[in-house]
Amino acid sequence: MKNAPEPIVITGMGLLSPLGDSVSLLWQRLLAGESAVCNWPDLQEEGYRVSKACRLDDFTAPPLRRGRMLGFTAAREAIRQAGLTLPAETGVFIGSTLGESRAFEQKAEGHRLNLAGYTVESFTAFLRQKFKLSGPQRSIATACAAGNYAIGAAMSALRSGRASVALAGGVEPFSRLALVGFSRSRAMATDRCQPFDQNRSGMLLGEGAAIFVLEKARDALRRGARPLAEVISLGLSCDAHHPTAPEPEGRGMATAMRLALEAGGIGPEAIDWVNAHGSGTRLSDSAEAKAMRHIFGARLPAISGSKGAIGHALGAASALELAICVQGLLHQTVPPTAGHEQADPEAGINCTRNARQQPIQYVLNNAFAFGGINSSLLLRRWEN
Amino acid sequence: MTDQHILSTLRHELKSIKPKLPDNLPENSHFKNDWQLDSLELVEFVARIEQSFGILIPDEDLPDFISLESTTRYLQNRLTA
Repeated sequence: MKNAPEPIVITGMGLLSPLGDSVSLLWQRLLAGESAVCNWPDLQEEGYRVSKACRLDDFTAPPLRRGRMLGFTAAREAIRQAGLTLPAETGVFIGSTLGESRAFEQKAEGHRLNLAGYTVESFTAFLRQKFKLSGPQRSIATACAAGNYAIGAAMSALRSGRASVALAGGVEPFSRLALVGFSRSRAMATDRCQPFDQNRSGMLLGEGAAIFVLEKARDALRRGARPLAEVISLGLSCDAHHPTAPEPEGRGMATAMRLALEAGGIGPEAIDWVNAHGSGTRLSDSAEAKAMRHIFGARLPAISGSKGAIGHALGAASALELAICVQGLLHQTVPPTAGHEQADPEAGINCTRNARQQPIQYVLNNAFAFGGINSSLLLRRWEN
Repeated sequence: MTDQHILSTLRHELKSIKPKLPDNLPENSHFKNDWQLDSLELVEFVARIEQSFGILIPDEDLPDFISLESTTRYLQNRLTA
């Protein structure tokens, strides 16, 4: 008989989001139904097709170091909350879509394209340098699913004994490059992001960082730490269908959720809540709706999405949403879905419109990306 | 701007995206049905038109971009409006 995998828990989290620079502020504003979407005069003046976005208006850093400073600030808070002096062999696992996007953008201004020191690896390296860490490391550029991937890599390193503590999460500074790319591929909304709504017209960009301290449950308990949630398993799949469009029936997305459930040793009926990817695009939401109906059948769990409130932070999105999942588990509350007003009858997904208090034992955090990259992270409420 | 100038620019951009296309792509042939341009290639084509002609093309106008003939007509209307 296979041994149960070593329980891995989150003991610290730190984030910077367009709705607040702390987990508690983000949670509070999310529950109040707020959205960070606003029009940005600088983007309008620069002539972008879309000038609405969710950005951090009070976080300043040199443009070429914005990402690393976001990651560092979030990590510092996560470590503080964990109440831990990181051992030197702590692993660092960071996901991002582009790294320091500004380094790419300079090319359009006539500068030579020099990415040395600005890729996703630069975020990982900066954290290792600042916290004097020499443990295992992974820098993961799996686009909009990168945060989930980073948490999965940390979980794997902890279970295998390659690391005793891990810093993991996602980082994405605001990217004009992504703004142009998604605009040109006609994936952007012009006004607001409305997950699974019949009037949805696309996504809006966000930015931010969310970093977590992960450790084995027994180590955390031994040192008197309070686990915030248990990370159970990560399901991954690839559509192998199209460079940008999801497989329309959501088969790959369903596979990711099914694999997470199988690895966690539970059936779909145990899931109380799905934090959907819910990008607000016609194609992605439609495919995810089919995938969820395929997995859960007629008995859908509570479904929410946060991209109407904080935008789509690409490689940081699923990390920011992981923090929302952990808050939901701690408070036994599913947050509202900003922008979801009239459920798309074809998609058939009624997202939460208000904060909903209910028992939550298990939550799935979905994150899907261009390239047909699918991920679903399974979390459990931590009970002593 | 003359139709010939627009056509020449469009042919140049199409060749850059899909080098196997003939130099003298017939004006009324269908990008998708006759020349198998996929959705990404068409998105790139529209982006290049925006860049070359200095205009923004809204989503609702995309159905006009099915052939050189229809695209030229669209651009003439936009550029002379």
